[in-house]
Amino acid sequence: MSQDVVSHEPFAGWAALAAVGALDGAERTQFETHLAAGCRECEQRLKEFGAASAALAWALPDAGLPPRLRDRVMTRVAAGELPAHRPPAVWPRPAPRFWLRAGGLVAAGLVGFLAWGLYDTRSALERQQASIGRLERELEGQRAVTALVSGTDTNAAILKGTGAAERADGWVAWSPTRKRGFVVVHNLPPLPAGRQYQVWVFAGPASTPAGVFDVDAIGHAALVVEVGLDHPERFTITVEPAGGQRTPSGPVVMQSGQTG
Amino acid sequence: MMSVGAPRPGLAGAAPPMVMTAPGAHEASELIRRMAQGQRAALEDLYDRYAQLIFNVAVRIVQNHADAEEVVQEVFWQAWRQAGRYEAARGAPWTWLVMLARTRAIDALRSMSPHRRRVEPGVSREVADPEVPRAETLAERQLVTDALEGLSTTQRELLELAYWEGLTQTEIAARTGVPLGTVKTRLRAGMGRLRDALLAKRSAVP
Repeated sequence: MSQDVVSHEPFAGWAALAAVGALDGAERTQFETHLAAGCRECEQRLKEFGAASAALAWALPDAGLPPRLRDRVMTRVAAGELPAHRPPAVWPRPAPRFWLRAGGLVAAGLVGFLAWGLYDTRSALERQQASIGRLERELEGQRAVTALVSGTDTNAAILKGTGAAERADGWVAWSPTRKRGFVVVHNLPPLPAGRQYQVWVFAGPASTPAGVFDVDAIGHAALVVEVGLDHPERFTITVEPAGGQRTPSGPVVMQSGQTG
Repeated sequence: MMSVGAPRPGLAGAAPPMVMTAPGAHEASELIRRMAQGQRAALEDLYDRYAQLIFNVAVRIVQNHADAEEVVQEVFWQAWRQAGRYEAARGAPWTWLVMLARTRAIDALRSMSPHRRRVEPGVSREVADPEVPRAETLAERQLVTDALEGLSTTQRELLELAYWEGLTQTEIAARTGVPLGTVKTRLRAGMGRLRDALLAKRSAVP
């Protein structure tokens, strides 16, 4: 793509805004695309405005630079590797035409035109990807819970606090066919280090461990549990050593009524 | 905040198409070339030359010394790792370092939950009692301070919100109550004046 087919006019003045990081949303994407299409004028303007905005640093007052910081930097470098000649994370080579032809590299090319653009965008992408990953995990969990509590064979029971946790309350829903359940508790006191709450499923004298958990600062927890018995009669929650036990050994803090 | 005087209009003129550099840029570029060869002494020299500048940037953005120190470490580590990719034609070494520092610091700021932000009151206005600043620092500081005098107070404040606070034009409009179109116009005008003034002053240096 040659420069003469790139229309600079609509983007006149955008370089100044891009250089100080003020462009946002669609405008930023449009401008990066325009740069990658080969507008030399905008590239030059962005270079000039980038240097001008960075020059603002010289007007900042001196803060007290700790002398020890120099040693920390050098120690880290000494302990690390030699400078790596990897694909650039900053100052990428200006090859917009190549980028445009390079399929999968287009995205990197668009934002990699200048160092700050690439780095800013990469950071934003990483944050967005982390956020997307978190949301996907939450969604997956919610789907599992929805399937559990909406099944035609789903049962539910109230959990009540006992003894030192008499203010605690909650509920459990479980599916005999899925062999899984969902437990929600409130107002359970946080435990000291080395201790965790553990959920148990009882059928007659038989019991199976269903899951261990911690509560948050306000005593809340929600978790999916394994229901290893075909006909659960009751659920209890005990305090156990961290990681849980094979059979209940600690005090019971919550229990359901008879469910069968 | 920057100490600047009253607006002085008329500095915006025709700008030659050039990239601004500063005295010492060539020597610093040579340091980065040596860093790319694995010479740690070159990194030490680069640190001695620009660590104060980078620390000032970090403190201005994250508003506390502990996080600013982390930013400085990350910036020089990154410079060491990526020295082989530095291209002098794209800007002076200090420009590169400042951009790295700004990005790192804003990332750090955004990653902090509001209650975790450790703002030390007055930290960005403190004046250290350091060694005598380098001649390059003094010259650059004077040059930029003079250039900023050509901007209106509003223009300077908007530039600071964008560059040091990391706000986009939409966020600036929301925070200040100034219409978005006006924010854009003022930012563009401010940047134009700053660039033109710096170019004019640098070209006037013998």
